[in-house]
Amino acid sequence: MDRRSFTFFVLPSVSVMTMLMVVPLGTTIWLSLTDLLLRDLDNSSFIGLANYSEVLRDPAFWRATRFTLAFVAITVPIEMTLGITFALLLDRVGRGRSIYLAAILLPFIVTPVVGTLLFRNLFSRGGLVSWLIELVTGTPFVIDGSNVRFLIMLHAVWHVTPFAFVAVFAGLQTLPQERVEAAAIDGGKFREIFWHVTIPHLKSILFFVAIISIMDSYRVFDSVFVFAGNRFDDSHTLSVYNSVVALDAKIGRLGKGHAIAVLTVIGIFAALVPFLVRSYKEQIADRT
Amino acid sequence: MKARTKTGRVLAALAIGSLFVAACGSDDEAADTATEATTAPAEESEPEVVLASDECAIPVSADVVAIDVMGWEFPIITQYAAELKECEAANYSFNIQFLDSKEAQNQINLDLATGAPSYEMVQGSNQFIVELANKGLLLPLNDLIDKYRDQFGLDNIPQGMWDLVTVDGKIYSIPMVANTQHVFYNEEVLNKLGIAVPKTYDEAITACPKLIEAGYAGFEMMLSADWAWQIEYDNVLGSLGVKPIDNTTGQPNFNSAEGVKAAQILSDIVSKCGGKTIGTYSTDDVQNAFQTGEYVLGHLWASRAAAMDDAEATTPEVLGKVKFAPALTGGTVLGAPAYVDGYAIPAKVGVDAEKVFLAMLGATDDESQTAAAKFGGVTRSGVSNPEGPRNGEALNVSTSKGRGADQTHPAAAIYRAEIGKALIKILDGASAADAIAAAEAAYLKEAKAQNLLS
Amino acid sequence: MGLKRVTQRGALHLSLIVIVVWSVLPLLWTFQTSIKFTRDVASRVPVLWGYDTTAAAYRAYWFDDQTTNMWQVLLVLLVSIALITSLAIVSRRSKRPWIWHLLVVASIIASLAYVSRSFDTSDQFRFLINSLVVTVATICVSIGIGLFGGYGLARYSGKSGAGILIAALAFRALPRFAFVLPFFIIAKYLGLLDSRAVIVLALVAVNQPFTIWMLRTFFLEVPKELEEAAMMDGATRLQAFLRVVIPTMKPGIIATSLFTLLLAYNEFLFVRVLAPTNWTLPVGIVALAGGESSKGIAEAAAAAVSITLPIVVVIVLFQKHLVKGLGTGAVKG
Repeated sequence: MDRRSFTFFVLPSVSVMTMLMVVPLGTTIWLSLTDLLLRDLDNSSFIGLANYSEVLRDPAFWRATRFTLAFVAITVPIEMTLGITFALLLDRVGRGRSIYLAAILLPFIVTPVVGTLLFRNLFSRGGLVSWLIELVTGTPFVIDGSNVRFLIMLHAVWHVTPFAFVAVFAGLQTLPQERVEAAAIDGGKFREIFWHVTIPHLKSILFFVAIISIMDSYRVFDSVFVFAGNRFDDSHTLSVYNSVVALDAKIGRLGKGHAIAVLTVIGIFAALVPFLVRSYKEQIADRT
Repeated sequence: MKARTKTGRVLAALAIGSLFVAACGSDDEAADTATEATTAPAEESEPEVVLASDECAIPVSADVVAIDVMGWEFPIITQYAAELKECEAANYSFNIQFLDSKEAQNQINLDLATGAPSYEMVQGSNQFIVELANKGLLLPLNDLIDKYRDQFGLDNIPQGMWDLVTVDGKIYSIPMVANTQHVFYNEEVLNKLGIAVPKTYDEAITACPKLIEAGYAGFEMMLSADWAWQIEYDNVLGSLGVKPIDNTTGQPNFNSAEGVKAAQILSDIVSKCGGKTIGTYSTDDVQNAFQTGEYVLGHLWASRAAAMDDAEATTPEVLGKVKFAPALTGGTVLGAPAYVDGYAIPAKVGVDAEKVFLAMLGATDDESQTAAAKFGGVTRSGVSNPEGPRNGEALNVSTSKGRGADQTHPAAAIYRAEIGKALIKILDGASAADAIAAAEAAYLKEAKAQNLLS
Repeated sequence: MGLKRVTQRGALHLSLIVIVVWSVLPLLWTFQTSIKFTRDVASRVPVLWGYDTTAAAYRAYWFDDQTTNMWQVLLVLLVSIALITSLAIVSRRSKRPWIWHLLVVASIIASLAYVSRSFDTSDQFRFLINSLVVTVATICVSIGIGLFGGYGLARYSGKSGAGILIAALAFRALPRFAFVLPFFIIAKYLGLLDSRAVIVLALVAVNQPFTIWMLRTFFLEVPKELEEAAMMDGATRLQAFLRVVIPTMKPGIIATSLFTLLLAYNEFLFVRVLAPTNWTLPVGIVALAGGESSKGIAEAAAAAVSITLPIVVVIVLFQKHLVKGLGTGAVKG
């Protein structure tokens, strides 16, 4: 394809992304350098990096960062492990596959806010799981500061594992059966086959799932907002912390909120840049 | 193959186009006519004014007035929303949306801050209305109030209540609900256990072990959300004779001996009267708990008193047994707030403000308040409802001898946000002193950053 | 050996059933809650069986009139579903399925309009309409634009193609808050706040990176020779694209649409901030059930089931496409 055709074809996409992503990003960066308040959207003055130094000195920011990083570091490996396990199990089933598939896929389809509310109900007073826990421990189960993080992460695992599962399962479908059988005939046990045949085949899918899951976990908002919004501000992720600073009626510091957004972006990019560079090089290599 | 794909694409384009049209338009066709109403020159009252109905005695509007309302709901507000809907007879159309109180405040704040609000009317407590007014987001109603004062008997509402929604002489709402918090108790159970109705916080805490031993919950308070902690804290602190911040300078008073003592009282309630489970009962949950007999003594909003006589939701053994007493005290005054709720109009409202105001009048007139009085305290003197709640005396005593309304200093909003966030950590084991210290530090930092202290 | 196999199979199915229970339990429990009477819902000890059922929660959620006859509603629902299903079945055998697909769309719209007129529907019904409009519009615009972009990126071998792809990936990593606040301010100045259009724009923008990546991967599977042959016959690149390439992309379009559907239907933050009165279903349910005001656990449960059911049906119907889409998209991604 020549350059002119290329420009014609990608113009709508690129314009949409530029107008609706690049421009807002630029606006975010600009506004993060002002003292814009929600109650006074028309007046603001340039204050340089003052917002940034305030955020970087705010213990709430660091708490949110720590929790967000812990959240990603804990949930993503679990999601992937479970996803691979589920996919391997389903792959061995002949009949009834689509029913199992649909059921296991369900948590991923449920709207995050709805899913969170469902989860919360299970663990609230009168909920099934809290009652079971009470039977076992003897004391009423209460969602409090010590267990809300666990619940948030549990919900995340419940919600995202099906995504890993479906991707890996799809990948398993393309694994040539002959290779597995050949390895088995050569005397390989399941563990060896798994590590030397299955995983290498799934490498790019696993990578894909990992990257997407990391990105999405880092940005998680809906479930944390519903679980921890009003009550547990120690368990806010960066996005919820951002929301409280910028949009809370009694506080409403948009300038500071924009600074938090920029810092959040810098955070994810610090981790992503090596990967992005590598992908770019791969893309170039693929073309030559 | 060619023809099919081509027609397919054409149809797809049509679909996209029509969806764009659908997406771009507001789904409320009345809104289009409403814009006509705003751009048409405001007509003064014609010689013959047709009133809509007895329920909503306001002039019928020539064009449809579409009003979006946002607020937070509790029983009497539901009734006032119904009263508002009655004004549809005057060619109005209402879209009333409710959210949880904190979310509603955030939502309203966000919307009004744009300068082109989507809501034409908001409903809130005096605390919230004053906060909005301080930010210049509400329309002062003095002129409209004067214009309709006689016709709608606005002098019927005591000056004290008007003052609660007045800032710098400008009035921002028509008070329609009078609310406070006071003691609810199950007389039969307390008598059986030989517990006298407590008058002080100490007496309440002393009563807890006896109640818990007998299998009931201890003295309860509404402590499930940060803003709930703030209200109760202001109650306790106020009953010790201290205002949280200085109303002129904004400097904090609450990191003092009394301030810590007030937090300690709340902490004792949590530890001795219910433990962490207290934090899982929302206001609705507390109301239900009283109705089912699970709670027999505690502090609850006056507006929930009517629910105690609700035969459908109240257990037969409890029906009629719940009585009401004035709020507790820490020594000086009663730990009860003075709240009024009302509708208000955004400063940059997009339709004719007078028409919106007329709807407010129609929803808060004598007839409407009489209907609402079935569910709680109303504001017009002499208005009552035979089916109304039985807590009139408790409400009046608590309000008149209570700690008064929430403060109006612009920094007070920040104080309220920070104190609630800090104190709710008591549920997770924080100490009262630490919580107060943390609240003060956070408050000073934020208030200074927003240049609200002097 | 036979016994070992049987126990192995047994263990396999048992573990799968455990996984299914783990996946489905919250929804099942919520469905149970939604059909109980209040006294069973509020019970401290969960009531697992033997309770009386009622549709009151669904009535409270969908209708303002509490005397609405839910049997009537059920009848209307069943008739619509029967109609739509039969149209869908006929479409499979027809030579011109698109006529039948359009009829399906028309009957869905007609059913919704009928319900809206015959019953006193609540605000949540309006949110349902908003959700449908926003979701469909987002899919159409997103895929419409994305098809062109994905094709261009698949066929062009220059460096800027790689640059755009990586930039798109970078955009996908950005948190919502990097967009929602400036969108809020920009929309305010343009007067676009509180319209469904602004939500669609925001969702299309945020979804583009993923869409063009996924569609590109599908385009890569289509051999270049296909359009080159058409172009040699005299068609322009655009005509070849529209008439020859696109028809082969049906599976890819469906797979990508499913993901866009999930994104648009489930969106919460953008709608809350950018559309104060034109809510979609997710915001509607948080208004019911979040925080202090509990309109009743049963009603929130009915809401949860009502919101989840349509999208579950759609995804289950198209699950094969979803699997294939992820397989293709992930391998090359």
